[in-house]
Amino acid sequence: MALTVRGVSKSFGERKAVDGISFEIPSPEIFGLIGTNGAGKTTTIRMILGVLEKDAGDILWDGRPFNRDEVRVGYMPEERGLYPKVAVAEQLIYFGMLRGMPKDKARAATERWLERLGITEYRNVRAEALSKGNQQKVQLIASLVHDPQLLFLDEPFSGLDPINTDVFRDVFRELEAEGKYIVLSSHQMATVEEYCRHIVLLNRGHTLLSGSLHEIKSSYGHTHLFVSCGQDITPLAAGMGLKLEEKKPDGYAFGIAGDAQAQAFLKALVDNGIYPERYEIRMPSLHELFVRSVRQQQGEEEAV
Amino acid sequence: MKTIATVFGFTFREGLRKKTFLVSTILVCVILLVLCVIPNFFADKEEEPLPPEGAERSNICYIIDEGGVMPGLEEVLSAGFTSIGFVPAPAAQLEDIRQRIAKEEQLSALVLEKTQGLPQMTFYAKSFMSSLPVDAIGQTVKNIYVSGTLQAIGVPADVAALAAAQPEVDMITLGKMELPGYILGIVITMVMFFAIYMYGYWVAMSVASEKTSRVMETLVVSAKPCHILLGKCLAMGALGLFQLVIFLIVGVIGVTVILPGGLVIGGMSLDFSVLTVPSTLLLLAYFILGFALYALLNSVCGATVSRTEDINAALTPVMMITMLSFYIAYFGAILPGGGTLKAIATWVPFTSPFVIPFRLLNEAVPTGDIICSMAILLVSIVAIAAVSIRLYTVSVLHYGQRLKLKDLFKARM
Repeated sequence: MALTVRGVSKSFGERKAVDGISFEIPSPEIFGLIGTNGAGKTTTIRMILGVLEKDAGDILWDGRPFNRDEVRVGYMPEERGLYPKVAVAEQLIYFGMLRGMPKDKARAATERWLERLGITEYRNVRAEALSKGNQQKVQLIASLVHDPQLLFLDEPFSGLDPINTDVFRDVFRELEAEGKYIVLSSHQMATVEEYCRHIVLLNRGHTLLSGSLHEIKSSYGHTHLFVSCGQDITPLAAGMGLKLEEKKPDGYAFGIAGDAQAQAFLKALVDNGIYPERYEIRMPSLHELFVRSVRQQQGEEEAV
Repeated sequence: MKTIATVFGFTFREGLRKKTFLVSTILVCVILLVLCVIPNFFADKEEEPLPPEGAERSNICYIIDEGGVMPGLEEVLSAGFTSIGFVPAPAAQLEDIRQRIAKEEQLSALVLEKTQGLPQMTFYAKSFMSSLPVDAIGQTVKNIYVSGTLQAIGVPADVAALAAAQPEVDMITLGKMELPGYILGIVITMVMFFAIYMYGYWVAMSVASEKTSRVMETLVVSAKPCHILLGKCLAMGALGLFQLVIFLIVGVIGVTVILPGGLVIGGMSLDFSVLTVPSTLLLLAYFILGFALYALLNSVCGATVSRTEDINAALTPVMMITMLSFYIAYFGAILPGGGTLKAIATWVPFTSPFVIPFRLLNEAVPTGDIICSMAILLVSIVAIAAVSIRLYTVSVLHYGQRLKLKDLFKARM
């Protein structure tokens, strides 16, 4: 099984919301769909779900055109939406039944998930009476109650406290281990970096980056250096062409041209009698890649 | 079908528990019962025995006959109308009497004059809705005058009495339209209009509240929009029908147990015997079809708004169509002489649910008319459902400024 999105486009009037984006999720995993506000993430998800009609391109599941009736799909939208005046269990059973589950199975699945997320006591409580975190848990259950094969999570961690974030993380890891295909859409780059092996980065409807996160990072090489030491090493670094990015309480973050420059700087430090407590050469973070790619695209557009 | 049934069940249960449903049901039932109780108080008064001769009378009618057109008239009238005290008064007091009549319902005055040798009667009362039997008094005065005039020229008293007597007129209608059916037709058309209007509004509110609570995002992924829309419209229709049945049961109990002398509107009694089984089934069918037509339009209006506060503005076009259709049906079928308008209203799908029920109870509607009207209505519902589902699908995930009709048709899902 694989989800393939190939050359998909969508316009709203004159505005092109999604312009020929492509990506593939060949095996069960958590896939990162990231981008700026208005990049086209939600439009892409809605087109895959069949809620919006695409103007061009193909969306395939296991090599055949994606049909929501043939694939069990779960969707946790960014804008949380529950029936405020309906009891938690009742609406979860309803959502399960809408996805074709018999009532008894929907009820059993609801009970199981309520217990798994630790909110059994709220089963007969109206959704409007729950805290934001608990409403989010109910929303997650609404997307999972029918045991989907393909799950779309749009900003699943927004507004969650660290405890509930851990609960969600464990659930997502379990789902991945069970062989679910999960598309995680988020602004939080650290979150995506933690969960996803593959990503697609969108900006203004265009694909900026796509593929294995490790390979993307590797293609940039080691571009950052962090040195933790007591002395001021910035004059020495400047003399060797290192670009100071940030002076932090525990050290200095530099931009470097590559491994050779980092090694030469380390030698220079030692030669000057400076022995760093921490000397870390690293690839760019997803956040840095994101900002760099978006700025690069903006620069190219302005040049045109 | 299963999904529609699921949406139907959930929406129906949710609707039943809503405060608006509970409050409106209880309130209308209480009003119905109160309306049945109130006439009892008046019924007691009506059944009071007429005051004996010489006792104080509830109404006073001043007789002003300055020229002696009919001397002694007050005695004759007092004998015939025992609840009215006829008091002679001089013409000089007419202005004062008129001022008093303008303030008091129980007062009236009859002025007799002679113009060109013929008697002239002028009757003064507070309003045209005065309970005084003006026609009967006028007829009695006329009889006395004719009889007196004939006797004055030597006609024997028995012959004069015969000449003054009025023939009894008994009208028998040969067409289907009779008073009970006419009144019941008006009542049912009104109920139909309010039910379609109100329950259609509920559909719009239900769609709008799902959108504003953002539950629509989850819903449209879980089921096809057409299934959601149809399930919702059916549920609201069933809910409306259920409420109407409650009102009907309470109304029947009120009329049969509490109300004295059956249901009377404007002095005319309602007779439900005109409601045969076929006509009742047809009324039900037209209610369901009429509701479906308007509910689909209302659902689209509900889907175009992002805030429930905007719902009334969005519903204005459909409200206008509903009102206009009702009035066309009303003037065409209910008022006399609306033949062409009635014929048009029978075929137009927006007006037929209002006009056919009235016609069914008041005339022998040709079967062909009913079949054609229902067929047009059904085809219209299917066509409007197809357009509504598309517009609903476009609208439900649109947030922000309210969608205009041209935007809806321009958008591709």
